[in-house]
Amino acid sequence: MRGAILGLALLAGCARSEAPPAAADASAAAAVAQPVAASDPFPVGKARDVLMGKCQICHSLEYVSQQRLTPQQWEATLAKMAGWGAPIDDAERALLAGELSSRFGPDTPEVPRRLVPTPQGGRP
Amino acid sequence: MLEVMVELPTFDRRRILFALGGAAAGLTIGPRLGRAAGGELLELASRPENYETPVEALLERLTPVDRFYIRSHFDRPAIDPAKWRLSIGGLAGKPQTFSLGELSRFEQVTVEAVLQCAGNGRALLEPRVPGVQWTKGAMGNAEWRGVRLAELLAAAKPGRKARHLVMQGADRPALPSTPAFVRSMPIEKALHPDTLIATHMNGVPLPPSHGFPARVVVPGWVADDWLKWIETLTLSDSEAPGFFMEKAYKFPRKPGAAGAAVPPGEMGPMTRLNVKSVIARPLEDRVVPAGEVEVAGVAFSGEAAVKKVEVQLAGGPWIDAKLEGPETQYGWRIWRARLLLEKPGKTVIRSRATDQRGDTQPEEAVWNPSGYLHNAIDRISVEVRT
Repeated sequence: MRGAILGLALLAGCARSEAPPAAADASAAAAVAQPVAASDPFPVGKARDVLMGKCQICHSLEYVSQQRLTPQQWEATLAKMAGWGAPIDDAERALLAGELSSRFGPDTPEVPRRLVPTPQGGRP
Repeated sequence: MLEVMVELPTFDRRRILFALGGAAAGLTIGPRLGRAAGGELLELASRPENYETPVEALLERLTPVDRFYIRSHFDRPAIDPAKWRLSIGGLAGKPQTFSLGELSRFEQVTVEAVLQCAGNGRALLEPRVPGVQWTKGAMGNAEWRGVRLAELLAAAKPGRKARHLVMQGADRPALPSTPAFVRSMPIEKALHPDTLIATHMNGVPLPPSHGFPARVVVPGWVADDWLKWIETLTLSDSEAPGFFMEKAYKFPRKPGAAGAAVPPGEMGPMTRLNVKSVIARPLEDRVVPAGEVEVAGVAFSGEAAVKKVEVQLAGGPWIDAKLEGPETQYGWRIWRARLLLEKPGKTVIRSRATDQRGDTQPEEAVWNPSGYLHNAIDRISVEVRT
């Protein structure tokens, strides 16, 4: 697992495409687990609406797609986010907990980090 | 044929194409790429800005500013340097405010020190924990230039009961229910002669992402106290209140089993960094030709110089690496060693640093619920081909 993360982080230097790497095995589970893109990690649907419309108030979605958490850890994380002001109701929390657990659980393969130009910070 | 591109950390940034295949391993020097100004970083999150340095780019004594990792809790604040002020108040006999111009009239000092995110290496822990999933590049070494915090505090005349310095920068959460990033450090560390309010890193003014116009620099300590965009310092008889001091950035006093919860009462604040080495060359999963190979990386500790770095091939004997450059109390040192790779197939290379206190890297990372202070003996896997 550790080697996979490092190998993929480094491969990002060679492959700067946004497209996820081809899954080594074509199992349905692996296909479901790959984010569409780190910053847009869900296909069109209700979970994506919540992520885009609500979670993105504070942070981009790579924060979400890089996690590899158990269902309990996802529930705790969502509770923390709600406590910090994320405008998600109980139904949305339950929806996200289920979807995030299946898509970004401990066995989800790693996805390369993008190698990008250093943010220049704009004018102070 | 496997082609891998490796950017060597040389200033002329020549990109060398390694062509490996069959019986012949050869090197071709590729064309010099016309590089736009600015470096590159691995994106952990675009907002707020969280980027880590690619491992191969760590192999410099001073990390280039445009390849220096960026860690932020919230959006980068826009600051007008003409209007910016640093305020010192609280238990102060003579509260102070300083403009940039006024700061520049104090003695300017430079301290070389490693800045490392508390969570560097978090992604390498098992079981996994939530948080930014840094691997090895949330760290850098720089010459920090600015004013001794002790001199500024002296001007404010701290009261007898001032035991802590509460710190807050200009950054703010997007929502009011999110706690602000407020920290405090013990007055003794705030008064240490090497603790700075820095305005420059590696010879240039702090870029906006690195805390322009000024940040706290706490040599030897974890980055959670190195507040960027510093604005308000408050002398206090107690630690800062709030999430980022009471709950976050705490480490188990007696680490337990991996994956086990730790009661809050058994957690204490992190202070100094632990001893650490990282292998920057060769890279993980690389195919390397059989024969002699150079293994190189960086090593450092918190408030203690590195005493030695050793490397190991395939579980064999530990061999001393050569340390380069000046020994400094808070900076890192490049180390290099040569190993003879004879046996084809996958093999593991490890590095282990020991500091002047005698502390050494552990075999396994000390698991903790927040994934802080990962400093296990570093290891990479390479494939040897004859």
